[in-house]
Amino acid sequence: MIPIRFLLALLFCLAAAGASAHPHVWVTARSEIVYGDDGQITAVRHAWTFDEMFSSFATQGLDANGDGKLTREELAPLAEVNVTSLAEFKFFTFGKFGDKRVVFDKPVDYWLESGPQGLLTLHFTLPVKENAPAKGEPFRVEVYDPTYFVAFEFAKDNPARTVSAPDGCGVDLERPKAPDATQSKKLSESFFSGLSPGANFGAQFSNTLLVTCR
Amino acid sequence: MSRSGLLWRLLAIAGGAALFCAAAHPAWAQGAAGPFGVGRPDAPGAGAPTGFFAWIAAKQSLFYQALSHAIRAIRTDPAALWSLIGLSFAYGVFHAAGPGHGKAVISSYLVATGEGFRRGVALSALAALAQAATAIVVVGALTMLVGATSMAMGAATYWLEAASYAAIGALGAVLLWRKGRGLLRAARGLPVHVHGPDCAHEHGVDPALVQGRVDWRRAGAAVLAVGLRPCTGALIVLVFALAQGLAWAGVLATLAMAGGTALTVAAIAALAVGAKATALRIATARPSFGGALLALLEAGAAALILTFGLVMLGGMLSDTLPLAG
Repeated sequence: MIPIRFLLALLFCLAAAGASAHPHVWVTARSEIVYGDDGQITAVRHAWTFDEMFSSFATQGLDANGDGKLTREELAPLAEVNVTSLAEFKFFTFGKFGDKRVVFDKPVDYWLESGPQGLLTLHFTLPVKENAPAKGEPFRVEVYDPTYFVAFEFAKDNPARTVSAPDGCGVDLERPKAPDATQSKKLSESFFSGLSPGANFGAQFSNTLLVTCR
Repeated sequence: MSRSGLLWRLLAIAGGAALFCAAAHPAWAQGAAGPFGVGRPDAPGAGAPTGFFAWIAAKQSLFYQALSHAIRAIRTDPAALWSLIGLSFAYGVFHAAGPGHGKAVISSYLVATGEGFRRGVALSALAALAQAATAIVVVGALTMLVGATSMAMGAATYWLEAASYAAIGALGAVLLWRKGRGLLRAARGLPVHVHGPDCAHEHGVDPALVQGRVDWRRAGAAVLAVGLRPCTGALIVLVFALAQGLAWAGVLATLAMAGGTALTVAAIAALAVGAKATALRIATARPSFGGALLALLEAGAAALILTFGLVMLGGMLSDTLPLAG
């Protein structure tokens, strides 16, 4: 009777634990930390370039005049849907300093552009609404999808910079650790630990923008 | 301990486990539209993978990303078709371990109805094929004929998915109604199934009851319920292939994916059938409560299907859940 109970529980929870996502969208990100005159951060400005397949999928049917090119106007409805939908996911942008969270407002200045090989780039600016860190106070902005439907990677060159930052302030990017052979071995060993749902595993794919002032 | 007392205790354990897993189910954690409004996640609120599933996620990401190159390569090198089919199949195998491919529903269905291993494999294959067909029809009808946008396609798949969960819920309700009556009889200490006039046996578990009759209408409903929901990966690959002017390659890739998906779902379904077989062995060894245990197992599986359908549907339809975010 006991093995049944275990088998049942395993079966039940396999369904729940198995409900783990994997990326369908790959984003190459570039971000800017924008400062105001008072030396405080006012916004985070993102440029997210989507992978080839998702770009192709998302732009399906949007070439209204059929000239093979996608203008900003033709892409406008998609950009609107993008930023509206992202709200629920907190724009995958998590600003923190100390134990406080920076609260962002609705995005402004958003548009989509179709680049080389049809790769789509979403530009948008997230204004800081509340809890801006004080001038000179170090903070960090994490960019990742906790549900891991979207895989974020920052661009190889010029991944992040500051705009009109006070003297001595700069941003460093901390990339997620690349999974290596030992880690995947560890992963397969942790099969049973993986059956317990609830761990915020997506955080391990987090990219962190570290903003510090000298 | 009396038989019905034991049964109620079992019922409480199973119920508690089901509630726990349902509560832990991430469907409550996230809305329905997907982060970019086009291309929906495979299940609302699918969590990030952990442990073994992270490894699976990494593998399928690898295969999935290689797909775009394989599709492009076909234009210049027809031999690339084989690598496309191989990649798609491998992607399907790993992909099905993720949410939304009917593992939970098919496995629970097999436990609830008592279908055997072979029928389990057939059901898994049919469900995977139905999902592929839905993806092909959605992309074919909407993009090729109507020239619909990805946003319109998103809306269509949203409703297909809702219909799928509703159908799963309905299937669970019907099964629970049938199996629940058996369980209630067992709880009162009565034989699980009603003995007909020509039924003169005297034992705990009826083999005919165990194997279950082939109910193709019921099985068809299960296949349809799962297959109504197209898989996002297939939709994206199809549209991408279409944009490359290689629609047929997209169709082949989708079918190969379904093959891989069927393999994984069938393996998990086999696990469920095996688990039930173990339960049955114990049931036959101790007929006094064997029938009751069987009834509990079947009713529990039916309740699981119902819960799954309702939770997923609820997660989809209510964007502002208290637990959201």
